[in-house]
Amino acid sequence: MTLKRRATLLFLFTFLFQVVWAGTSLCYPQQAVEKKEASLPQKEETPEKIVGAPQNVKEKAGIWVFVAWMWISVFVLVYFLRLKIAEADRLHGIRFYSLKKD
Amino acid sequence: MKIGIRSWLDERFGLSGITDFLTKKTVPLHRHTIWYYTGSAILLFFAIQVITGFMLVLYYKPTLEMANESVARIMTEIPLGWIIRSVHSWSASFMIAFVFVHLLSIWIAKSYRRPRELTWMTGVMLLVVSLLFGFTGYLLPWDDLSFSATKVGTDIPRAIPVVGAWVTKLLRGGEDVTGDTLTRFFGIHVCMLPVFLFLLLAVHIYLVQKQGMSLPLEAEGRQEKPKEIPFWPNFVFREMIVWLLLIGILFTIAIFFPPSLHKVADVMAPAPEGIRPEWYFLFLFQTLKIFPAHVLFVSGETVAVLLIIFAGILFFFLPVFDNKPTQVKGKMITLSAYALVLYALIMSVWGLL
Repeated sequence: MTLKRRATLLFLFTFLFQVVWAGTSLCYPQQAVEKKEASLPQKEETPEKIVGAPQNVKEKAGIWVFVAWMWISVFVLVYFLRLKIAEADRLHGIRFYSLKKD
Repeated sequence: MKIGIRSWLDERFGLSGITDFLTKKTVPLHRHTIWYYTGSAILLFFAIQVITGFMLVLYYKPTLEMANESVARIMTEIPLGWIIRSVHSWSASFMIAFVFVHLLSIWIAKSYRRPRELTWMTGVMLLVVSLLFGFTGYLLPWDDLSFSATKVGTDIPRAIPVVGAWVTKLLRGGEDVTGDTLTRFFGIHVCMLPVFLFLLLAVHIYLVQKQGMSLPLEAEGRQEKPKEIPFWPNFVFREMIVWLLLIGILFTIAIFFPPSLHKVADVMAPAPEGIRPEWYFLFLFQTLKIFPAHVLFVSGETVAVLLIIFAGILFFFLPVFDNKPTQVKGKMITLSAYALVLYALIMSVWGLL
């Protein structure tokens, strides 16, 4: 396995791990808030507007980490894709694909 | 192992025919190649719509009592629910924006001319289906804003002579916007429109493959053929860069600017102040608003609706009206495209103010 492929796989796995980690970190605090709210008396009034947002600091930090990792992964993948494009164009330039068909 | 699986699949599905086609297919390379990426960007956003739509439908309940509550639950209780809803909503906007840009680029490049008339027509039909997706999806949260906007939106066809009242009744499933309208819109949004879209998309993509990529006018008249690159892998790798960047932009916007949910719609309450449709209907909405109450002896709304329908028909049949040879520039057509963009921009900004 080449170094490039190893690096790609490493980034993909870390990205995947990050997605799972963000998912779990978003899940548990919410469940904790739910339990806490269940013990409090229920309010009668419904809110005027609900805006989707992280529930607590941990979730907020998780979101920032996710966004940072996403962009790092995007730029790393774009870098490798540019190398792949250069290689594919070089092969097309020397008529490698048409030779392969013959 | 990899070769073994490939040959096993090839023996059963005949995949080599597809890969042969993809490697033989070429894409012209010139200074306007960037516009070719808009088509695949639409497909990307549609795929995101389908995936996030599947996730949302697991928790959404399309009934009068539960619709707003279930969306509130998605946003506050379901893990990552607010992000999924936000991605679904933003992806719809991105998709429609790219459909507009895609059609506009074809309009300006005159790529709808012979033999690509049907490709244009299926493209316009895809735009209509995309707009209907937006219109039907807007009601689903069943909050006061979406309810009032749908009430106004479904009332517009009433201005059409003879069939107008019937169309409004058909859309609403009765005289007013009720729970029946919600169920109807949900059915249209998740069952009917996806089927139409898949069928139209299949025909559209087939026609694009059959006719090949169109060339800009400046390259069309030249004797020597423009530079070409193979679709696979050269063009697909380039498209992947665009997809990655678009996914990054979409998720970032969806996370930091999620759509809100207003309080549950009250059927008896008056319409709230400043109701507006989604941005892609804003210019049509403003056009209807600026028309006077009466034009001669006819209702102003009727005149405006009929004019919009007439403009839509002209837009659909553009290849029939402009059937000149491919090399002819057609300055009036280009000017009309720019004029429409300018008009839509001015009307949308006016509608926002």
